[in-house]
Amino acid sequence: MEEDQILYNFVTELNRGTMTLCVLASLTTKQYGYSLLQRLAEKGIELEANTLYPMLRRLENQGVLVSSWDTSESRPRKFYTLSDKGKAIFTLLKEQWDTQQMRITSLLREEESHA
Amino acid sequence: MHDLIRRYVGETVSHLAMKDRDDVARELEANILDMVGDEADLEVVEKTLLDLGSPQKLASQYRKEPRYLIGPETFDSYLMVLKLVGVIVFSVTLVLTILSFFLTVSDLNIYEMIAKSIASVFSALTGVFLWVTIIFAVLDYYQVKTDFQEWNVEALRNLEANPTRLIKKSESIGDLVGLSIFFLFLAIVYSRNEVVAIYQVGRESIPLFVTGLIRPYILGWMVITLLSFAVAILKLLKGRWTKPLLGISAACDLIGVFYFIFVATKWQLYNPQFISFFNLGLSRWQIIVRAASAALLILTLISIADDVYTVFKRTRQNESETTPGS
Repeated sequence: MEEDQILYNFVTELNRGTMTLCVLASLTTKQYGYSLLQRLAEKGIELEANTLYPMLRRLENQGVLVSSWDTSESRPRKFYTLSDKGKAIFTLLKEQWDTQQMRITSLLREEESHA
Repeated sequence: MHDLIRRYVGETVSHLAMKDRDDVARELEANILDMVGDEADLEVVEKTLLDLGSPQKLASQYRKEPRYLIGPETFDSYLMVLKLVGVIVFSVTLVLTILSFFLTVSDLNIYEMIAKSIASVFSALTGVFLWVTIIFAVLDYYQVKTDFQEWNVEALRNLEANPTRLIKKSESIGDLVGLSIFFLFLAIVYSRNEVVAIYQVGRESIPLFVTGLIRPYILGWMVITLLSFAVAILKLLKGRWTKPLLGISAACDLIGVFYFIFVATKWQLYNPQFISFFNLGLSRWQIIVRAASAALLILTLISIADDVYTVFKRTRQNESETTPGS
């Protein structure tokens, strides 16, 4: 396999788990699909629309998100936010991320200093 | 709403389960409308929809569970069963087709016989592939567990420690092939009792059994053959000797032998003409049958004893081997 392809696969795998964390983090306040996409893009987090929309639906089915339709505007929009269960999960996931990130960073720095 | 969007959404949800379609269509439509904005011209709509990817791909994202006929979890078992049934059906079909050339009057030449054999085997194997695949696809659909061997400490210790306790796959498969052919032979004898006979050119054949009387005994024998078949499958799945398996296997062998002796010593089953063909009295015939029965019993006992030796004796040796430092 080409070097680029291998790298691309690694990055995809790396993103797969962290994207959920990013979405959960952005949904502490109500958002609709496209606004969420833009918000993530502003933070430099590139998440494809065709990944995000199915993800939102899945998270809703799992009970992590709750949704409501807002029909007061010219266009109906579906707003998502964390459910109570989702908030609890997000808190734990964030802790997990912090620990993991600390360990990995320390490992990477150590390797660097040896190099 | 733009017609193109409607068609895109319609195509996407057509790949989804009926119950999800309305919901996903509504969500997706709202999202796309947000993306293209209020005064969208065709170009923007086209670009947005192209970026979203093909409806099939998007639908697969919504489904998320990958779709397959036979999944990776089941594939090993599937392949094993496919090979196994394939080998058995191949052998049995070949043997039966060739036998049929001798048992029925046919004017086929050798090339036609070969062609007919290949055709039968091919058609039988096609059937095997079809049915094994269908059965596994259904099992997979209902998430039935097909992992035949459990993974635990015992299985771990048995991995390499006592290769002598392994039951050779080829042995079990040979058993299965033999039993299948024997079963079909019994089925033929059941429907045409007179097929087991002495055939002479220009004279009427002399059947071994009195037609009709043997029938219920054949039926019993078919049941016992099925039992042996089940034991052979069990041996194949387990792949190694265990004490319960040894018990079942030995019991099945003994039932078979005793049933044989039981049927063989039903003297009224034999056709008197058959016995007199060899210039034997019934008493001489009885001695021959009894001697053969005794020999069969002894051979079976020896084979069982060998298996018992394998299971018990070697187990003890291996137990001491597996304890480090002892």
